[in-house]
Amino acid sequence: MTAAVEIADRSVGAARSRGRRGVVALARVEAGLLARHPLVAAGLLFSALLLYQLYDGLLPYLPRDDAGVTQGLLPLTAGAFLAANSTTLRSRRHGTEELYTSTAVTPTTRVAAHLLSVLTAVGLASGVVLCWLAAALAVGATGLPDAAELITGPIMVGFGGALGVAVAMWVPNPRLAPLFLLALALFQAWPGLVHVSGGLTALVPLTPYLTKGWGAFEPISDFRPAAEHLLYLGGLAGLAVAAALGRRYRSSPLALAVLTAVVVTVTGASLQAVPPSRAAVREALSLSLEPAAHQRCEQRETVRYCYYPGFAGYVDEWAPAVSPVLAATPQPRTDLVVRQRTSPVQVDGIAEAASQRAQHAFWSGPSGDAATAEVGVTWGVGTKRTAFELALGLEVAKLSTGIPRGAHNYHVTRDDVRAYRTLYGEESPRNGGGDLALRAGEVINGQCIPADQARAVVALWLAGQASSGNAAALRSAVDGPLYGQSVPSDNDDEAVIHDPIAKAYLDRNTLELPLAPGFVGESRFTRLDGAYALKLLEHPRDEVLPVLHANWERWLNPSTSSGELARALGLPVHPPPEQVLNQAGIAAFVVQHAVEEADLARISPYAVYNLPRCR
Amino acid sequence: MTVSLHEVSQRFGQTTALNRVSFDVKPGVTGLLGPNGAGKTTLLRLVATVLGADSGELRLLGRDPRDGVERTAIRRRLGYMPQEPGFHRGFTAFEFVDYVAILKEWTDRRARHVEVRRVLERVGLGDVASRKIKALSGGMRRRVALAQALLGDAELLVLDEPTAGLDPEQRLRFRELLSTNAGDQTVLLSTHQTEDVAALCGHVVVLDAGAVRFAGTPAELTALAAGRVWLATERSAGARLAWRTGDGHHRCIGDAPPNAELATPTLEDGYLLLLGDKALAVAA
Repeated sequence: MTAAVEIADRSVGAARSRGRRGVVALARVEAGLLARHPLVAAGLLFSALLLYQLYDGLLPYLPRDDAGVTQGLLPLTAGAFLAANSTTLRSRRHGTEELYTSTAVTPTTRVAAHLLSVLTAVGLASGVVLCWLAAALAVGATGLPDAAELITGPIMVGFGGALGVAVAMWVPNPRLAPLFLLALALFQAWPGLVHVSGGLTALVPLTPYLTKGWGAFEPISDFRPAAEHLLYLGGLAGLAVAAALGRRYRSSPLALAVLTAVVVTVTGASLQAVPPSRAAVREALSLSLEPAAHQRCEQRETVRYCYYPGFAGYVDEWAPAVSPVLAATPQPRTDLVVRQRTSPVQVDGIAEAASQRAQHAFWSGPSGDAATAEVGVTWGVGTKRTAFELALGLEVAKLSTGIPRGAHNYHVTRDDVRAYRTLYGEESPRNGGGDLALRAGEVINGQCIPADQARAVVALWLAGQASSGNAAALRSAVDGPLYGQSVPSDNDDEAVIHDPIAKAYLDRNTLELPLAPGFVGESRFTRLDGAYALKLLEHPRDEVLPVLHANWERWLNPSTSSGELARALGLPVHPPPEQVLNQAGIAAFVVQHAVEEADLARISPYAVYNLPRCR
Repeated sequence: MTVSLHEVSQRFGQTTALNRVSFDVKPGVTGLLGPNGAGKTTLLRLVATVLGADSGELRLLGRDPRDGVERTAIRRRLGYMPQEPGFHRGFTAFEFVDYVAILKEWTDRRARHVEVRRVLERVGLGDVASRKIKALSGGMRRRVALAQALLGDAELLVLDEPTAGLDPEQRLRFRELLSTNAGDQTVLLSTHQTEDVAALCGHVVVLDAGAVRFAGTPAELTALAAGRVWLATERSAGARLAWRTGDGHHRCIGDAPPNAELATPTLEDGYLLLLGDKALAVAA
């Protein structure tokens, strides 16, 4: 070797350049291997499935749903962790360590290459996020996502991969990696599982994935510290990288990097633990309690649609569900407002009491405003659209037929008490679980049921006739199976019941309409009224409308029974229960019980349906 | 000298693997002979810089492997085939050699691939380069291991039992390969095959119990048996070693048995005489 080469060999610059090229070349190969690793592929598949399952059928609202993408990337994070661990330990597992040691590339360079290869998984995660975003926009997503939330998922995957390399360096046993992952998963899940422990819930912000509640009633605003958590996660990823490199390489720059990562991690952890201010909580609760103050409204035909910022596109979804219902009424009301509502944000600490009051107010039911139909902050797409359209159609139909919405005070009557005792004995289990006896004069606050009222049949028909999808959904609810009931036949076998009227007599639960999530007030009707509505839907709309419109006021009168409407429309009136049930071959004692219940329902709907009859 | 050992010792716990070993290796092929446990692999691992000597002085390619920078410089000019190289069985032969090439700082992808194809062709694996290593025979895997050691025509080639597991044809091919490759290269190989040493090596070092028992040319090792190898009609009780040959004679090493005629000694005879009973296991 010449003197010049000797000098070049010792040149720090040349060595660094060669080291960099070595790292990049090796990282490129390792990246390809990691991308093809079965565990990464499995993680990617599960992440895609999870995201599909989380969002399937619901119109995305990006400011709220963006956090779910990170949740969807948890399987890919686990896959990246295990795969990175496995590839780092490959040389040890396959006995090539000695050969590799004899080469010019240092072990630190090899570790650095493994760490860089994790960027492949980060790239895949970014691809998942972009695909989700594209899919969400394609189905009409509204609002703008938080950039920090979108970045968090890929960073979490990067953290998982870097941690896999670090664990391989410090605990070089591939069998221990799954155990480590299990421990990490427990750390992630445990604070959420243990609801009662304040100490453990304090750990929640320290988990790699900042848990977020999920559901149709998820408030549109939350205090999720996305940017702060991203900082924390970035710090953790930095620490994992430093831990991986530090196993074989100790230097001042690395020490500085560790110090920086610690500072970033602690800063992120501290910032994300800071509770929201009172003013911020008040503002967020106000979204739920005083929606009008935050909303914009748009007039379409006779209806005013009011929505939260970012939900303007939803009006196009609501209007087709509302218009056909109003069009079937003799004089569509001109004061109707369709207003969006969101559940209040849940907070602990200083604003906990205010939050709880808001929760109570929200969950008590709709506002009761006779001109306002309330709709939630979710909307179905695809096959789930019908459920939302039927739910909103029923809200409008109830308003159009005068069926009360919202909570009302009801004074328990002596008939209610007697009916309760007949049904349940002395200790009447109110609402299926109470142990206090019902007393006459007691005030019950809750919604009502328009049982055996013509307006209930009209409302159901109005919603059902709006579209063929609505009619089908209504039919499957009324004629659906009797959940949780085994009905013996008169030969002791289980009876197979096809007649919807027989089902209605046997089912004292309120009609299980396929209610869409996001609607505060449930639409409670009886199956018997639902059966009348189905009969009515079998008749041409043009024949039904004139009869209804001719005596509209009469049908909306709470004292007009469903049977009267049926007779006026030429529909067969439901035969008495004993006749229907005996024809269905049901055991005599069941028939007897159903007959008693039907009698009691006329005296006290409250005892039978747990709801007072609407007035 | 390419490799120079002076009073090099290496211990593993209570076991002395190398005890004050001193010898020099010049360009050309040097064979390392010795019974199992003699310290051959330990010595080769020292030369391959995967192990640091406990004491003594080792210089490789004029550099000191104890110094980190110099060690890296040595590794850049070194090819090493361990006794049990290990393979990533999911890799193809090409991928494995390519991976090692990256570790040897072949960062330019195109040049690297050309070199990988070249060495695979040299060991006769050009046709199976795209086959997974798990699908290759044991002999083919040894050749894959040899191929990676040949990358870049390293100045110092350290081969630990390169012919183990090869069939006779493959061994001949290996000899051909190494003889055409040698040139200015320094090849240090360990083997139990004395024929390989006789056929290939310009120098031979015999290790026993961690110490050098012989260092010289194959001819000098063979000469140790001059006048002590006999062909007799029956086995001699006084022979240190004796076996019946295919033509019905008894080849006896040691003192002359009655009615025996002197035979031409081989390198193996010299080796057996040098190590005596310890070599029996190897000879068998």
